[in-house]
Formats: sequence, structure tokens, C-alpha cells
Amino acid sequence: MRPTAESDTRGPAAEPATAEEAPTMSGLPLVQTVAPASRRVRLRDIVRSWPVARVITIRDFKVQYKQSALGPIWLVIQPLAVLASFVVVFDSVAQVNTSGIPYPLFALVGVTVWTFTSFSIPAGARSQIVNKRIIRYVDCPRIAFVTASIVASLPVLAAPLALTLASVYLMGYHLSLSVLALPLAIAWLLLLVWGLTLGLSAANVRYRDVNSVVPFLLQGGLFLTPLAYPLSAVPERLALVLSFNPFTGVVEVWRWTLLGSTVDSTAVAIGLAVTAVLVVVGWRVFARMEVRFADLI
Amino acid sequence: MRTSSEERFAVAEQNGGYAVSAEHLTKAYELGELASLQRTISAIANRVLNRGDPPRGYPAVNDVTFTIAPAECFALIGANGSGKSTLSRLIAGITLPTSGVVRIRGRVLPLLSVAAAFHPELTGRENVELFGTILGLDRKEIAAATPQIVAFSGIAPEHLATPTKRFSEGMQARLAFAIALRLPAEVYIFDEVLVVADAEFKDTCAAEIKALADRGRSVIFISHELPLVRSICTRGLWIDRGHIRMIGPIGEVVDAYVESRGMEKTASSNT
Repeated sequence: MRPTAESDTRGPAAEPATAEEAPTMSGLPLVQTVAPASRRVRLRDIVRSWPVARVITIRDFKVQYKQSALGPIWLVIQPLAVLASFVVVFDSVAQVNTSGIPYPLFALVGVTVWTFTSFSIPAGARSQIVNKRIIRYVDCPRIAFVTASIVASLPVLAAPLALTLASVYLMGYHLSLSVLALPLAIAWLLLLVWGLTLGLSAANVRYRDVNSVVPFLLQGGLFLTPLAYPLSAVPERLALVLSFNPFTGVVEVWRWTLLGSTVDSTAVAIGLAVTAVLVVVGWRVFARMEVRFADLI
Repeated sequence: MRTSSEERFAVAEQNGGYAVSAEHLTKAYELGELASLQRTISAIANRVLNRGDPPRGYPAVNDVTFTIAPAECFALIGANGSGKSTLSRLIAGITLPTSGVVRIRGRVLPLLSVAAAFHPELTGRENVELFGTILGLDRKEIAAATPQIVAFSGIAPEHLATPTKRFSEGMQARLAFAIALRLPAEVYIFDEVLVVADAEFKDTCAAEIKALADRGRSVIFISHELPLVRSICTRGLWIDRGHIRMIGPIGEVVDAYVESRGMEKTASSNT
């Protein structure tokens, strides 16, 4: 339970999360206070709420492929279908210059990033709404639904990433030392998706307009992120504009770690700055709205 | 051996011990659609014309103060929409008050709706873990309580391996009650959840709820079934349109409530 603690800051004493802290009949149980507050979720709740995120993730995994004939095989079919269309449009028709990297391999990295993004963002934006019954009837850490939506999306990232690594190996393409930075590239992507998910899921509780905005953003992002073409193929002015889309920096870094392609450092710097802003704004929006979720959902 | 409620309450008050203490609790809700095109347009119009937004707050609970002692079965009674459920949500910390404060000693276990946290695709057993974890219990506590939950629900083990969407409403109610009654907490809230239970299970639950109080737990019980309320609870609060109408020993509160409803009925039938 999470009501605010007696001493107004929600200290550890306020949350009997573990057996040791839990009130017992032998001692006086801890006093919890429910009082007006403009925000009550803390950053540390992300870690503390992990048990809840875990059961929600397990639930979502179990439910995801119910009554589906192909089940998890879709994890591979989806990115391959997008890759095929990229090859047709950008390799056969537009013939973009990928500086010697085989086009399917080049595009597969972008497809990996975007498959995950276009799955995890809508799932994350819906995360509070789909758990509406829990929010209305139980006091539980709602930040856990955001965590769970991202963890439950990880197979959508892992499958095409495994496909990419296998392709790099099979095509005799050499991984350079930059592959050691892959965890950082993954972390950046996850942080960006988390920040967006926080803000969108909170806004969605009050304004279901989010459900209309997200597909449209993702559709634009598919073309306005250099997924199927390199940023270097874009005129300089326009490349600067595209850099303000933080996924531009992400995909540039991903291609650098996996394929050793050159990186536009301006795009990376701007992308990191935009990511930082989005994460801070997302967290603040979430924290401000979270206290009213049960009233508004 | 049950001591009288007044005795328990007096002792608790002397010790300054309470299980739940609410002071000047007020909760206002917004009325109308929270977001709509019409609302967006009128908000823009109001801003352009420099008019303030019209007040939309509606106090569902209005300046409510009461105390519940440890080991007490406390009833909330009132007509539909009088504020009972809002009050229980405030005590459970699901929503925060607009003003005022509630203090609760220990963990609250709210059962505000049958199958509130059940996921229809998960099995009975998986739902036990889901519900327990969401309520803030750890795996050890849940594992310790699970055999008792299974036994109390009276649901066969092979049924507990079945998704709960195939359970009848009554079976879901059984499982929800078994979970709520067998997980450890200091304050239990039951909001109108015995409606679908059969008479026998209702009796079992009533006895179990009294047993909780005998073990020192506090129970907040909300129901329109007044005989059940009388048999389970020791004190009660009658809430009417957000205000406290009466608070005291259960017999007196229920009598007054019944009388007022009877009078309202005759009054309305005369017009």
C-alpha cells in the first residue's frame, strides 16, 4: 500500500513492501496517511514496484498469443515483411547509397529499432487504460504498468536483433569493436521509449486523444527517421531538422555499433539532448497526473 | 468471546489507538465529460471572452470525521450515490482527498469489486498471485496463504488451473473472498461484494468477517442487505449525500436509516 507517510514525505516506513517491514500484530502497525498531495510517486518506486511489474508482465506474456495460430513466430514475420518492403522501395526503386553496406543488412538495423518502437509505444500509451480495473479498485504502484509494458515488449526487440546479428555473421560481414557499445545503444532506445510512454500513458488517462495521435506519429516516424536510408544521403539542412527526431540519433548509433557505419555526431548530440528533455517532461507529467488516475480513468 | 463494541471502542480511544481515523474528509469529483470536443470549444470560448471556467466540482464526501477502532466491524450505510464507495476508496488510498486526512494503522486490504484485479485469461491460481502482489504482498506471504485460500474457496484444484473467465460469477466471488479473507492485513474493506454469493457462502463469510475482528483486525463493511449488516457489524456510519447523518451502535444507526427511508417512501407515495 502506498498512501503518504505520517511525516508527509513517503519514507520507507510508509511502505510495508516486504515481510520485515510489514506491520505485525505484535508491534504497533505503522501509520499511513492519505492526504491531499499534488504528487506522490517517487523515482525509487520504479524499483520498488518491480514485483507488481513482474506479475503484470507475466500476465501480458501469457495473454499475448492466446488464440493465435502462429504465436511467437510473428516476432520474426513482422520485421521481415517490413524489411522486404524497404528493399523494394529504397534499394530497387530509389537505390539509396549505403556506403558499401549490403542494403538488406543496412535496413535490418532500422527495422529492428522501428519494430520495437512501433510496438512498445502504443502498448505503453495504453498501459494505464488496460489496467483500469486495477487502478480503480486497488491502491497499487501505477508506475509498474509502464515498466511492465516495456519489459513485455522486449521480445519484439530481441527477435529482430538476433536476426540482425545472425545476418551480419552469415553474410561474412565483420563486427567491429564498436559492437561493445550495443548495450548503450539499447539503453538509449529503452530510455527514450520509457520517457515517451510515461507522458503518453498519463495523458491518455484523461485525454483518449492520445490513441489517435500515436499511430499518426509512428507513421510519420517511419519515414522521418533515417531507417531505410542513411542520414548522410539527406541534404545537410534537412538532416539537421531530422536530428531533432531523437530516433534519428538512436538509429545512427545502432548502425554504428552493428555495422561500423559512420555516425553523424551532431545528430547524436541533439538526439541525446531531446531524449533527456522528453524523459524529464514525461516523468513530470506522469507524476503530476498519477494522483488523479483513479478519478479520471 | 466477543466484547461489546462500545467497550472495545472506549478502550481503543483511551489508548489513542485507532485503526482508521478520518478528519474532515472531503472529496470532490468533476462532473460531466472530462474531455470532449464541446468542452474544448467552451473552454476556448471562456478564455477568449475572459470568463472563468464554470465550477464543476461535486463533493461526493463532505467534511466527514470518524474513527474506527482496532477489532471493530464498522458498517457504512446509505443510499446509492451517498458516498460510501468514495469513502472506502479514500481509506484504501486509491484516490486522494480534496481536503482532510485519513490515517490508517497497518495494511488495508480492499475488496471493492468482485474480481477487480482478476484477469479473465489467467487461471485461478495465477490470479491469486496477481491479486496478492498488486495488494503489496510478497511472494512468501502469498505462497503461505495460497493453500488456505484454495481450501476456503472450496473450488476444486483442477478448476483453479482453469482461466477465471470460465468461472461463474458466484465462483469468482468465492475466490475473491477467499483471497481477501486469507491474506494478512490490518484493515479489511468489503464493498457490496456478497451480493452474488449463495446463502451458505454468505453465512460462512459473515462468520469469517467476525473472526477477523476477533483476531484484532478492523473491518469496514458496505452493504444494502441490512440484516447482514446488523449481524456482522458492531458500529455503523450512515452517510447521506456526502454528509454524516448518524454514527453509533449498529442497531440504532440501521433503525434510524430504515425509519427515514420508510418515511421518504410514504412521503413520495402521498404526492
